[in-house]
Amino acid sequence: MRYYFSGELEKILEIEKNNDSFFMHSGDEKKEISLKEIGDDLFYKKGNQWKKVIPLVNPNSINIGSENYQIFRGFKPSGSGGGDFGSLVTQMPGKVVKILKKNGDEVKQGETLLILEAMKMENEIKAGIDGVIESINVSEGDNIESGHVMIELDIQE
Amino acid sequence: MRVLIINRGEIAIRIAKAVNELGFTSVGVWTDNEPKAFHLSYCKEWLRLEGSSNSETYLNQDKIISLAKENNIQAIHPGYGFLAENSGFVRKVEKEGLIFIGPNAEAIDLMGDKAKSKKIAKDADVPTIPGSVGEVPTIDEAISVSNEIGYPVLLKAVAGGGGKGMRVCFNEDELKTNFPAVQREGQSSFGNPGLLVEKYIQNPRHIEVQILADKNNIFHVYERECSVQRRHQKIIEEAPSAFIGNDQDVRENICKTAVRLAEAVNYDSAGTVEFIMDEDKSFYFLEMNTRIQVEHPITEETTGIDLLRNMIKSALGQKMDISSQEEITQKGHSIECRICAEDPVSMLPAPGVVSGFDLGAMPQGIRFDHCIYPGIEITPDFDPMIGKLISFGINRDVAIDKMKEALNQLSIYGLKNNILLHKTILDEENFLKGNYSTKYIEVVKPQEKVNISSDDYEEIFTNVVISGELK
Repeated sequence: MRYYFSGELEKILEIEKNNDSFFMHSGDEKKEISLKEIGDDLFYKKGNQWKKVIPLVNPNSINIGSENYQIFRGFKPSGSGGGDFGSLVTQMPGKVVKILKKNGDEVKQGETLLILEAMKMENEIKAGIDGVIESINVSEGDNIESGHVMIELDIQE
Repeated sequence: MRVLIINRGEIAIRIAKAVNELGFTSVGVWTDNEPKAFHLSYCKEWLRLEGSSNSETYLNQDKIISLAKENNIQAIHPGYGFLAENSGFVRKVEKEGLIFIGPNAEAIDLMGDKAKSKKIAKDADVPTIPGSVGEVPTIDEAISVSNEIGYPVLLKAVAGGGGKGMRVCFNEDELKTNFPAVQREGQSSFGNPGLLVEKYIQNPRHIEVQILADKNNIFHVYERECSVQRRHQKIIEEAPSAFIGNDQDVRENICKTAVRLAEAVNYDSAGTVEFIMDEDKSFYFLEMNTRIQVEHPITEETTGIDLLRNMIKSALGQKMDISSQEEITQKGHSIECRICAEDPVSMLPAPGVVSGFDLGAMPQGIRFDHCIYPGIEITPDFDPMIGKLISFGINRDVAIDKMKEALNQLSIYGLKNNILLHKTILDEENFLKGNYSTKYIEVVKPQEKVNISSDDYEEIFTNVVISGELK
């Protein structure tokens, strides 16, 4: 799964599960993060130290000091989406006019996934990669707030 | 004994704990916009206080009194804010045969009125800021008053406020220039050209004395220093005062002065007498807060006296845990950092949702009075303070060390908060030396030194990603 953090900095982290650890890619860097469960808590290894993983409830955004980051889960589609970053997430409040795909569908980069009406305009939300639709979190006719994850795409192996 | 707690957040929790420990029944309330208020989980019974806005709920005196009567309540604790210093409410509560856990209505009235409280202070030989008695009609009179009290002086429009119609004069020439200017400002902004002269305290320290009293005794529970303030609200407090330091004469003098004032109004509960202290350690009465205060825990930590427990016992006519002033001694040092839902740089409130919350491994000597849980929404309807981190150590350096570690351990995710500002202040040399006045934030500007390290970014981003994959 790929995560986009959008704020004063833009950061992309990609993470893969691997038995008792994760592989995390950040730019060209790839590292393995070991995990260990103790009691009810999970810890990950950072350098030589173990850090507790703090469970998060619906993290659509996160604060770091006075900075705020929107969190987008999934892949960044290109095309006439609702913005320049993570267009599977609404950039402004809108209404879902039509959903063109369903769960498990394979899609090609540039294919339209759904149509969103926002600011009195219809926007085609397109896939940014070749992939598989992992989940669709909206229905036709839904009015949604900005920051809502509409569709999650997974990369095609 | 059934005690109704008419408050929310951390103070409702603090009160419930004291009520429970005394073997009474803590009764909490919830309002329609906060049906899952965290403080309920500490109360034995929960009542609905119908309505959403504060005026329909926590400020609605008649609704609260009917709720109390319908539910066989004997005593009401107001906490701080809301109805805590409303003498009309106290009289209504008492008229219905209920007990108000707080001071008598008359003491609230006398201390709540600036002019009355100043007069009472003067009569009780409590120093107030020196200045003109009433208006000074001419420049010559202003000069003679200023010579008497000493420069610098503050020229104030009688009707002034909000920083308008006020000028500091460091000598006679400045006074001559400013006098007509402030007169004009007073006339144009407030329609009143009348002027007052008072001594200007350049680097004031905010020092306050805790009072604990019942019908028979008035004790002081030593002082607190609360000079780290933004927008006239405290964010860090400590006990004892670093500025008074080892000067036991000053300490004894300010504490005894506070008791004299409390005696003058027959004070009979927990309360606080606030002073400002000049650089030469002379001090002047500011006001008295006739309620339990936010920063009461640092006094509890350094004296071992549970103020809430004794405030309740006092109101119920029970014997307090101490029976003489000599039993009350200060030991060690305690610091409180107010954790607020606000931007650590602009210090403006930042409502939002707490997506993750963890105490980590708090060091020995740490107490955290708070109302935070993962998923809680902090709305703009209430004060942005969501918790109070309190450290205790054998001396100031130890208390600071423990606080720094506690701030490192505490994680609040998803909601902007001032943890990083507190960390910055606890590393700042003026604060570390105990050399700071109420102008600290304005002059030293620690908020501009708030720094996010690459480690902070990495830790938070990594946590988001890993916790996201575990669902």
